[in-house]
Amino acid sequence: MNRMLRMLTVLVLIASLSTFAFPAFADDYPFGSVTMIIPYTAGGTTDLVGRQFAKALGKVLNTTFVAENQGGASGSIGCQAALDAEKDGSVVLFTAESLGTQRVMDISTMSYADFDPILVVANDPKVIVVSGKSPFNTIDELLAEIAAKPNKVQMSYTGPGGSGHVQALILNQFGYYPALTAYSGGNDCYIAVMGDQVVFTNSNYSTVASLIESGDLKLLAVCATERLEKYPDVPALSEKLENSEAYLSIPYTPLSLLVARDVPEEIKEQLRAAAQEAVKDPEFVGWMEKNSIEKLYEKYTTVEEMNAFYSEWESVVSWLIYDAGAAVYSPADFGIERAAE
Amino acid sequence: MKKWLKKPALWDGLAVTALSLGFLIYSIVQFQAMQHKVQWIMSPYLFPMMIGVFAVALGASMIREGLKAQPAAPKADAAETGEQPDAAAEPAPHRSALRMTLDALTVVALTVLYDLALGWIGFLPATAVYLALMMLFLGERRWYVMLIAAAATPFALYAIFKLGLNVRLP
Amino acid sequence: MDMLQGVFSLFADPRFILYVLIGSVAGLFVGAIPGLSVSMATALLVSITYTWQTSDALATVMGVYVVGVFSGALSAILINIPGAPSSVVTTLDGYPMAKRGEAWKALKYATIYSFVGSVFGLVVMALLARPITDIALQFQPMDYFLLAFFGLATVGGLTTKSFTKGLFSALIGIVLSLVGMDSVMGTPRLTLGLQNLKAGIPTVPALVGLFGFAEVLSVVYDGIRDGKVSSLGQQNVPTRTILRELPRSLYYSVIGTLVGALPGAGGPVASFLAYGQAKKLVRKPSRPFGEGAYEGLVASESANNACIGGALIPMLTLAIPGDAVTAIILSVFTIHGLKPGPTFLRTGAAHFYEILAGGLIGCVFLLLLGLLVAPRISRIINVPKRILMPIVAVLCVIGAYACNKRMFDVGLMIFFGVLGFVLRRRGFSSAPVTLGLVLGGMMDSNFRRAMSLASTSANPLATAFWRPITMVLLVLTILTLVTNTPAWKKWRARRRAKAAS
Repeated sequence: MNRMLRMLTVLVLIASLSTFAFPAFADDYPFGSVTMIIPYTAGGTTDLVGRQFAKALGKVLNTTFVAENQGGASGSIGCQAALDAEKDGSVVLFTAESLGTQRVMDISTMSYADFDPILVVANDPKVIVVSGKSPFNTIDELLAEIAAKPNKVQMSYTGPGGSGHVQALILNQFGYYPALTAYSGGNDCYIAVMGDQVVFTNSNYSTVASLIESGDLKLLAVCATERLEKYPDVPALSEKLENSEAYLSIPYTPLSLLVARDVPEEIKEQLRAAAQEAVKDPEFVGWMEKNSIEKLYEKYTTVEEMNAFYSEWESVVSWLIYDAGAAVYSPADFGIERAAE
Repeated sequence: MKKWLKKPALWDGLAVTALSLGFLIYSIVQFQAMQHKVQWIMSPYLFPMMIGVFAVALGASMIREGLKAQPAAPKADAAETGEQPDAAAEPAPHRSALRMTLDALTVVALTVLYDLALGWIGFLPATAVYLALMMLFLGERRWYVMLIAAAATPFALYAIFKLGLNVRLP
Repeated sequence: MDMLQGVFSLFADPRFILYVLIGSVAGLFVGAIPGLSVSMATALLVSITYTWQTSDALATVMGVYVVGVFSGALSAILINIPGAPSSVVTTLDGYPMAKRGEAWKALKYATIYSFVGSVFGLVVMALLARPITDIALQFQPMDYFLLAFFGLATVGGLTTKSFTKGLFSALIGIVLSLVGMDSVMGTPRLTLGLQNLKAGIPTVPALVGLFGFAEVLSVVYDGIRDGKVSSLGQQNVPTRTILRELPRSLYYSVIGTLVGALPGAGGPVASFLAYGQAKKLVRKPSRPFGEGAYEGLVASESANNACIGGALIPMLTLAIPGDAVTAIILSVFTIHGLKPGPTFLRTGAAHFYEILAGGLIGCVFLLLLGLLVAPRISRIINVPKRILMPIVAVLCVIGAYACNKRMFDVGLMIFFGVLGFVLRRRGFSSAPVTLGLVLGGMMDSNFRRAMSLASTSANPLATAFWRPITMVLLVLTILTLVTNTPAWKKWRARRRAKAAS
């Protein structure tokens, strides 16, 4: 018994010692540290941007934003956890696009409507990459090969309904049919390219940036309407596919900070003010620029604009997936209207 | 009692076969349902089906083994089924199998209640009460031991998890 | 030479050593508490270290990583709850040893061979990072499938009694691993319509239930309430005796490092594979495997700790994390504005040395803390069961809750506890279930991925099999399967009998 007591005392001591690492609590919101749920595994683009943003937010609000990865089921597990948590602003959600497609894909019953936006922070551009040893040197060569051999040129993607799938569906719209193989994550997709398992993949730029620099991967095109500042010679995909602006002008990996709808309005306002402040943090801005991440917070500044953006996104992508036969339910079942062409 | 009733291996075999057959049939039904959507080799239920077939075969072989086996004497059986003989265990007073099962079920029930109580009254009180009840159930009678353990453990855990590691507790 | 200098200058830096020590102590406690995995500890720690200097943050994280992986063995040996998935194999022989009153001896073996494994992995990382990356990149879905299949063939090694029952337990594990969103088709499967099961069955609650809670139930069932887990004998084994296992442990470390470098494999797979090899290599174990053979402990602990160095390799050379902890170290880098990747070993050499030195100093602390703490903490088994078991039950509940913060997981843990208990009663065992749980999903998705790749290529058979790694793995797997069949065993026995006469 004595020994047990001694052990317990030691445990308590250590625990109390380790609390010194926490900064002083502010009086107003937040009432202590804030948990930021990131519904994807560590190391992905959502995780990286989320943690960077957490750091900047923490500086503004003078507290710690503890990033917590709760991956699984296309992000729906983490989103659900954020919905179930206490509605006092002590838990926020930093997520990618999957909320927009979860209903039609039968992943969950959640959508953007269950949350209120604090800030649409960033978009990590989608890029087409091939292995450094690949015979294809330009996007024209690759597209010609896909056109010549439909369903033979292999592409790795992150599974049905994911952002890589959407990109493949866009290619389909213009008559290009690559052979798709699903991998379990973005990393596995470009590993497959480097290991010559597949010919090309569609990655988020920041995750492959250093591999492009070193020559392990070749950057063929940016899936957007504008070229990357860092690679002015690499074409945007819209230059190669006629009339594709409607599809390619949309940011496909919008990363945003959200809270559950029921969180009190004043806390949302405080968070919004803090978020607007945080994106001015020079360290954060520098990091974003260094990684060529699109600053969506400059594009959508009011809540109305953000909500309008979500509903447009939801409409375009849901119908794209549904028309390709990949969705379980029709977007019409959820009152999602087809966007005007 | 009939002889075959006393062959535990046979019962194991029957249970395994029944479970596996159920699983196999479920997989086949699902496989059929998916068939129009995907190639057979890519179907999510291909692998479960293979496992189902394999499991049924295993069950069948267990039934065969069970039929061959000699009916085990009840005593030897009890010693056999325990995974590892408890070397340091003091001989427990003999209790009926029903009583033993009930004891185990009580612990499960207590734990489920504890699980629910966490949501109702919070971590600290629920854990203290649960610890005290469990110790009482397991035969601890010295009140001071119970008091110290039931009070100190939740606090120590709370300190480590909540304050030290900033893990949210139920 | 630069490397030696860079690393050793850090060995003399008291500030650096202090941060590693902080990390090590944290790792020791976190790893030892069931359900609190190393990856979770580092993920939380990173949030605190945002504002620190890079070298301090790296030192702390490496300390947590190295010692945390080891300390999973503590709860595995003492209370039969693997602190993390990679310690499952440690329970197989560790807990029986503790039951025989050899907890201290078991902990000493675990400490020393964790140290050996960790150092080996880190040294390999320092010397052979690039070549190993190139090998790891060559692994294709078919190879992952075969690797998992090969791992599954070790199931015979996990059960002491009935082979068929062990096999069936493994099948249960595989079926459970298939629950959730199917990664290839994106459709839910075997979820019984439960939203919470769509993410699959989380490993930690399942482990905590199968081992920890099932143990509590068994104790209650058997009615051994006054007993202790064991009385602690004062048998301190001379270190020289322990070191006899060194040559074999180096072999397990090679397995561990290679498997660790494969993204998507990792500690549990490595320790299962090493254990399977141990069963083959050690002709006459001190006791039968599974009943307290320290040879098994050596295999598991060397392999899972060697994974650390292995997992760091693809992270450093390609910015691809080898496991969950390295994924977090990756985010430490990006938070601090560094960019791992192919050029990192040149451009970020200083930080590379910090990781290496942090790891190596962590190993030293592992050895010190392990040897210091082991004899003290092993007294825990002297606590009467009627006090220990309730506390274990509470730890099970918290452990299940902590990793995902879902009450649902606690329910799942209780379910697995009952499952583990029933299986044990009927002479099945829990270890093969975990083997299936770890390998099942890997087999299924990689098999179909391989088929998907092969079906669209010009020559499907060649695409699927005609590569050196695949051929080697295929031959190994077939050999293992054949030598495990009853027919082969009979033939061997007959031949041996003939040779004897």
